[in-house]
Amino acid sequence: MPGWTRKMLRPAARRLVRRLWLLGAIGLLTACVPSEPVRIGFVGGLSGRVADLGSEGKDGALLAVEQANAAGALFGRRIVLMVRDDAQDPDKARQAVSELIAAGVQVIVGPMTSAMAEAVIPLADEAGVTLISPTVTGSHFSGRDDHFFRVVSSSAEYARTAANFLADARGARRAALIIDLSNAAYTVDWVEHFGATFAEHGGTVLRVERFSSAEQASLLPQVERMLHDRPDAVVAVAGAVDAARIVQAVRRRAGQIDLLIADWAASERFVELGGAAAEGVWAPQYFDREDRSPRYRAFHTAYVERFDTEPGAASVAGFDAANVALAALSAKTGASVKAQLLAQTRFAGVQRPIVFDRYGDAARPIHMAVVRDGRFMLVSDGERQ
Amino acid sequence: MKPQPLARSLFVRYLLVAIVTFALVYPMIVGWLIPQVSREIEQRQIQLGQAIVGQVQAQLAGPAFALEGISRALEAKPALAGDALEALLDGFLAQAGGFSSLYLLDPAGRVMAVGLPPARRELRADLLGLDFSRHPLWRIAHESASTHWTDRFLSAVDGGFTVAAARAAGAWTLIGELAFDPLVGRLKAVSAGGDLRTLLLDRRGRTLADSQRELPERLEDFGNYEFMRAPQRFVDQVLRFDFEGQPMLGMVAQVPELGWRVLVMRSAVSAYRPVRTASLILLGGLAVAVGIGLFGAALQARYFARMFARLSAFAGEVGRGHYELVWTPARIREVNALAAAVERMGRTVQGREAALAHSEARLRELNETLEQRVAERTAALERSNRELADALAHLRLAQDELLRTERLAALGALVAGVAHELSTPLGNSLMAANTVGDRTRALKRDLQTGLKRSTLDQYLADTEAGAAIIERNLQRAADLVASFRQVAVDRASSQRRRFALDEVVDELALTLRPSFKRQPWKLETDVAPGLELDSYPGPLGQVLTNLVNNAIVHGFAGRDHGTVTVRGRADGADAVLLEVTDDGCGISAEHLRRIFDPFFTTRLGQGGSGLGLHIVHNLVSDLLGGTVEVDSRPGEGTRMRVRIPRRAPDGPPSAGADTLDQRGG
Repeated sequence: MPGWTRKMLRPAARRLVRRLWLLGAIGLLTACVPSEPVRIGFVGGLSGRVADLGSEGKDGALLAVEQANAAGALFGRRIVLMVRDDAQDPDKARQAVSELIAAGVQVIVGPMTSAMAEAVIPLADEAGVTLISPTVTGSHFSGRDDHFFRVVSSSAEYARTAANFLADARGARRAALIIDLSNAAYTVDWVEHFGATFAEHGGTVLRVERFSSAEQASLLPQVERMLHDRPDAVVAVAGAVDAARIVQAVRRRAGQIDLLIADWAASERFVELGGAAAEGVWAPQYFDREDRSPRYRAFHTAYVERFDTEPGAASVAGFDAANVALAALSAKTGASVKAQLLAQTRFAGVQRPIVFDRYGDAARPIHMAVVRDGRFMLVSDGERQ
Repeated sequence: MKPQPLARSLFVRYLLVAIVTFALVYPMIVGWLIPQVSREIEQRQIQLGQAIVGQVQAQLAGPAFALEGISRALEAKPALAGDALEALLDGFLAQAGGFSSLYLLDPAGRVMAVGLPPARRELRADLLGLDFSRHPLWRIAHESASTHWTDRFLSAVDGGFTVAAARAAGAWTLIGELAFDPLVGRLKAVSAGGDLRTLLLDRRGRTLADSQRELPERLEDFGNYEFMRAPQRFVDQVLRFDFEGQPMLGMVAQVPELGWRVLVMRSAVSAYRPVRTASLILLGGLAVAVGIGLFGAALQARYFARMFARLSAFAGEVGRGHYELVWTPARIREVNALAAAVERMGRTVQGREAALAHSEARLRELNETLEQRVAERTAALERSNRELADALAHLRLAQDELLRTERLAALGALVAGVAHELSTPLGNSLMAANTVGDRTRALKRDLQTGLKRSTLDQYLADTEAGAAIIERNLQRAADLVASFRQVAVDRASSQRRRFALDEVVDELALTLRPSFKRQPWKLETDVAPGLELDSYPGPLGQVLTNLVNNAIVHGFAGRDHGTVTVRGRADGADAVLLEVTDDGCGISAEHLRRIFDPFFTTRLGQGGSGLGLHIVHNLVSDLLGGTVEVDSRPGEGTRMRVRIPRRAPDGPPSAGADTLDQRGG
C-alpha cells in the first residue's frame, strides 16, 4: 500500500473503518431470522357441524404447544402449531394436509374424524409425515402399518361397550339407530360393531336412519321413523349439535326411552345444546371428568384459565396427541417421528399413559357416562340396573 | 511494504474511495432512511387499524340496534304467538339487520319461535322447542337488561361457530345469530390490496372473522399472545410477533363495549418490503457505481501501465547507452516532462561517462606505479625480516653461550672444591716432607758432630711417622683425585652406567662441601644404601648440584643458619625419589609457577642466570625420564622432589641435553 494511504489509515481512521464494516454486518444480520421454528400441523373440522369436536381438539393441542414453548420449547426452537380446517370435507382435508406438508411439518395432530382420516392417510404415507389423531376411532384403521397413529381405542370398542351396556344394564333388546353419513367411515363402522355385539345378547337393530350433516335438512322425519317401531333404545351416532337436536326431538315424543349417543357427540356442547333433554342420556367414553389426579387437575386448571370453558374428551385427546408428537420430536435420535413413536411406544397422557401397538394404535379403557344435572358423570354400578 | 504493480495500486486506491463512499452512504441508509420509512409504515398500520375498528363498530351497531327494536316491539305486543310471531321475526330478519337467525325463548329457555331466512325455513320445526336452559347465553341474557354479545357461539341452526347477541324481551329472551357475510365483506373491503389481514377477535383472542378466510373457517387463537393477555400495554402501538413461524407486523384495537379486538396484521417481510426495496435500490445503485468506477479504474490502470512501460523501455534504452533516442510525445504532459528529464539525464550521463573514462585512465596509471611501490615495500619487509631472523639466531647463540657459561661456572666451582680438598692432604704431606727434610738435615749435622743413638732413634721414629703421614695424605689425595675424576668424567661425558645412588650423592657432597665452609649453613645427606640405578650419573649430579646451589643462593640469602638435606629413597621397585629440602625463606606463589622457566630469576644482576632450575627441569624430564616438583611456601622452606626411574629411558639423549653435556665437557 502506498504511503499516503498508510498515513490515512492511522489508528483512529482504522477504527472508524472497522465500525462502518461492523454497522454493515449488523445491517445484513438483522435481515435474517434467528432460528427457524419447529412447525407442527393441526387438521380438524373447525367449521360446520363438527366444529365443536375440532375446536376442542385444537384447543387441547394448542395448550400443549403453548406449555411446551413456555417450558423452553424444543432445544430453544419455538414450536408453532399450524392450524388448518378440513370442514369435514375430504377435498378440503387433502388440501389442508398438502398445505401443512408443503410448510415442512413432520407431524400433524389430527384429523378429528374417521372420514377425514380416510382421505388424508395416503397423502401422509406418501410424504412420510406422521398423523397423530386425537379422536379418530374407525376400526378399519387398526392393524395397518401406515403413518397414522391414534391415542384412543377404535370405535369397535366404544360400540361394543355401548351395546353391552344397553343389553345388559338396561335390558334393551330393540334398538333404533341414526347415523351421520358425512362421517361414514366412523358411523357405519360403529353401527356394524354395535349391531354385532347387540345381536350376541339377543338384541335386534330395528332400523338405521341416515342423514348427512353436510346438508341443512330437518331430522324430524328420521326421528319419527325410528320411534315408529317402538324401540327400547335410540342410539344417535352423530356429532354433538345433531345429537342434541335428535335427543330433544326424541324426548319430546318419547320421554322415557333409553337414549344413547356415540362417543363422538359426548362433549360439553351436547349438554349445552341438549338442554333438559340431555339429562339421562348415556354415552360411552374414555374421558373421566371426575378425575382427581394432580395431573388432570393441573391440565383442567390450565385449560379453563386459557379457554374459559370446561375441557371435553377431545380437548384431553388433542392435548395428549400433541404431547406425544412433541415427545417424539424432542427425542434426539434423529429417527423419523414414526420410528420414534414405534420405538418408544409408551407416552404419558393426562389421564392414562398412551401405549401404541406396532401399528400405532392405542387402547384405553372405556366407561359409560350419563348426563346428570347438565354434566357427564361416570355410570356407577348402582345405575346399571 | 512490497512494491505493487501500478495497475493493482491504482485499483486499490479506487477501491478505497469506493469503500469510503459506501461507508458514508450506507450508515445514512441504515440510520436515517430505513427508520424513517419504517416509522411511516408503522404509522400507516396504526391508522389503518383505527379505521377498521370504526368500520367494525359501525357494522355491529346495526344488529344491536335491530335487536333492541325487536325486543321493544315484542314487549309492546306480548300477546303475539305462533305464526304471527314467526312472521314478525322473519320480517325483522329480512330487513338489513345483520342477523342470520333469531330465536325467541320462553321463560323456561325453550325456543318458542324462530326467525329464519327463506332458505332455512324448513328447519324451523327442528328448532322449535329446543331447550336453551342449559346454555350460558340464555342465563346471562335472561338476567340482564341490556344486549349481551357472546364470544364464539356454536350455532343451533348450522352447528358451526358464529356470534350471537341476546337480549331480554320482557319475560322472553331474544337471541340473534350474527350474519357474518356483511362483516367479513367489510373487513375484506378495508383490507383489500396487499397482504393485509384483518381479524376480528373475541374477548379471549379467538378469531371471529378473518378477511383472508372463507366465512366459516375461523381457526386462529391469539389468546396466548402478549397483546391479548395484556392489551392495555399495546394501545396504539405497533406489534411485532410470530405467526405460524412468520414475523408479523400488526396493530390491535379494541371494539368498545363488546371487548372484541380488531387485529390488523401483515407479514413483516412484505410490510417492510418498501424499505428493503429502497435500500436494495440504493445499495444496488451504489454497488453499480462502485463497479463502474472500478471498471474505469482498471481501464485507466491499463492505460497508465502501458504508458509507464513505454517510458520505462525508453529509459532502459537510454540506460543502455542509446543517448541519441528521442521520445515520441504522449498525450500526458507530465509523462512527456518525465521523458524529457530522462533524455536530459541521458545526456548528462553521457558527459559524465566521458569524464569517467578520463579518470579511469589516470587510475590505471596509478595502479601500475602502485604495484612497483608494493614490490619495493615487500623487499624492505623481507630485508627487515631477514635481519630479525639473524637477530633471533644471535639471541639463540647468546642463550647457548649463557648456558655454557653456566656450566663452566659449575665446573669452576667444582675445580675450586677439588683444589680446596686437595690442599689439606697435600699441605699435610708437604709439611711432613718438610719435617722429614728438617730432621734429615739435623741428623746430617749431628753425624758430623757425633751421632747419639737416641738422636738416631728419634730421627727414625720421626721419619717413620712423617712417611706415614705423607703416605696417608697422599693416599687421601689420590682417592680424592680418583673421585673427582669420576665426577668430572660423569659430568663431561653423560655416560650411562650402573651406579649406586649413595656413592654418587656422597661424591657430590664432597664436591659441594667447600661451598659450605666458612658459611653458617649445613649440607646433610641421607640416602638409603644399596639403591642401584642404570642412568646418567653426571646429569643427575648436575641436577642435585643445581638444586643445592639454588637453596643456598635463594633460600639462605641473608640468613645466619640453614640446612640443606639431600634424601634418597626407593619409590616403588622401579623408581627412586630424591628430595632436596631446605629450611630457607621459601618461594612465593607467584614465582612458584615460573621457577622452571628459562631466564627466570629473582636475582638478576646479582649473579643469577635464571637457567639453573631450567636445566634441572630439562635434564630430569628429557634425559632421566622423570619428573620434578616443587613444594614451597614463603617462610617455610622449599622441598624439591625429583622422581626418576631406576632405569633411564632408552634411546639417545635428547638434543638439548646432549648439547648441554657436550658443552659442559
